[in-house]
Amino acid sequence: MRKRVGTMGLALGAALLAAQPLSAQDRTSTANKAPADGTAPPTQQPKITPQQVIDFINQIKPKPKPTVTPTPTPVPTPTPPPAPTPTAPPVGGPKPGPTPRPTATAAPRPIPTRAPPLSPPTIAAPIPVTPSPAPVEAGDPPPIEVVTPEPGPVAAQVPPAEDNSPIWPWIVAGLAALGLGETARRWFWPKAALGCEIAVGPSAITGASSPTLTKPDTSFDIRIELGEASAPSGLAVLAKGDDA
Amino acid sequence: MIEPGHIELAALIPPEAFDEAAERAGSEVAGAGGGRLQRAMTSVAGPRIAAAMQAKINQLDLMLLFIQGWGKSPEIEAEAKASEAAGEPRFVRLGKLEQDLDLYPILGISGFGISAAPIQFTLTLKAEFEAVEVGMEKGYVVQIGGGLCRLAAVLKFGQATFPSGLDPVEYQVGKGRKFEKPGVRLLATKSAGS
Repeated sequence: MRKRVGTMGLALGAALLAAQPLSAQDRTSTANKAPADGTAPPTQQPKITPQQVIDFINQIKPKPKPTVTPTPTPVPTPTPPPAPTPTAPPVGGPKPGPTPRPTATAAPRPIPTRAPPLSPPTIAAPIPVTPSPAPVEAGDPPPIEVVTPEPGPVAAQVPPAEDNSPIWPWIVAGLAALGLGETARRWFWPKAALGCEIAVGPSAITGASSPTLTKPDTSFDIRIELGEASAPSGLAVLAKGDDA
Repeated sequence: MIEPGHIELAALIPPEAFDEAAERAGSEVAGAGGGRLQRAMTSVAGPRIAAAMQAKINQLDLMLLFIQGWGKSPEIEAEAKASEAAGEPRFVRLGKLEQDLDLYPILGISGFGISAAPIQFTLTLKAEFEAVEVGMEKGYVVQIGGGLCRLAAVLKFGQATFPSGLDPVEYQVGKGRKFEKPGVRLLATKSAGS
């Protein structure tokens, strides 16, 4: 799930970033190409964004984990390269446009035109971009450098999302547990009280013991049948008449 | 004075006798299929049995029962007949005579719709009269006075006799007790039997 969410976040972030630079690219490309070629088709084609995005994602996917530590490193790296990059166009050349350039080697125009659109992504690092636009040829390397710093912020956005994701579920789960506990207490507490009352009954009954309980349940009756008195034995008559 | 309510069984029969009688009654009830409840109830009902018997005996005039037995004595019977013929009251002083009177307390137990077979006990009263003056008229005892009566009792169940061993209780017959006319018939039992 985390991977999926991370990939989704990366894809979304990349799409957003790609969409933003494209708009900037359009502006810059249109601005540059209008005076240069005057032909719209080559300028509109630079929107190779899908491929670039795919490549971009492919490049980014493996990086997010290491980016956490290297994030500080990419920051210094972009700054030094700008200076040497103009001298090392082959180094930066193969990375961004290894496939498009060989096809369009004959036409130097399209290459620079394509290159500028890559450069606009320098929005993340606008400072180096501003000086670069002046030399049109030297504009190729800066965009290459810019590509590397871009994944930095993108990757930096991903880890915080991963850090927040495990916290909120716990909070939600805790609140849900509290709610469930409260409801359980409301439901079970009165029942427990009833149980106590029931428990008091038997104790009272046992305390009352048998006499009170047996009365209504069992009847106890004694009747006495009279027998006859036996004949007296002994001296029955001691005296009679006046002598008595 | 032997009058209703004057005789106390507790003075005549010890409590142990009632307890044993209750146990025996419980066993009888259990043997008859009365159930454990009846057995438990009767096993603790010794005092209750005594109280019930006492209540019933308080309603009895035991002196009348003993007097009815006096007619079985030939000497007393003759005096009774003489009084009947003379039409005048005759007075005799009885000597020292012993007499038994059997009473049959019958215990009935019922519970939860079950009625156990009645259990019959025997309460034998042993009386010893001495120097009792008897006034007779027309064959009836109309009054008695003087003398004393020593009374003892034994509680029995079947062939078993429960412990007694208490000394007889002595009662004063009293200066005079008159019975409502015609009085206590002395000859009735003999005439009925003949």
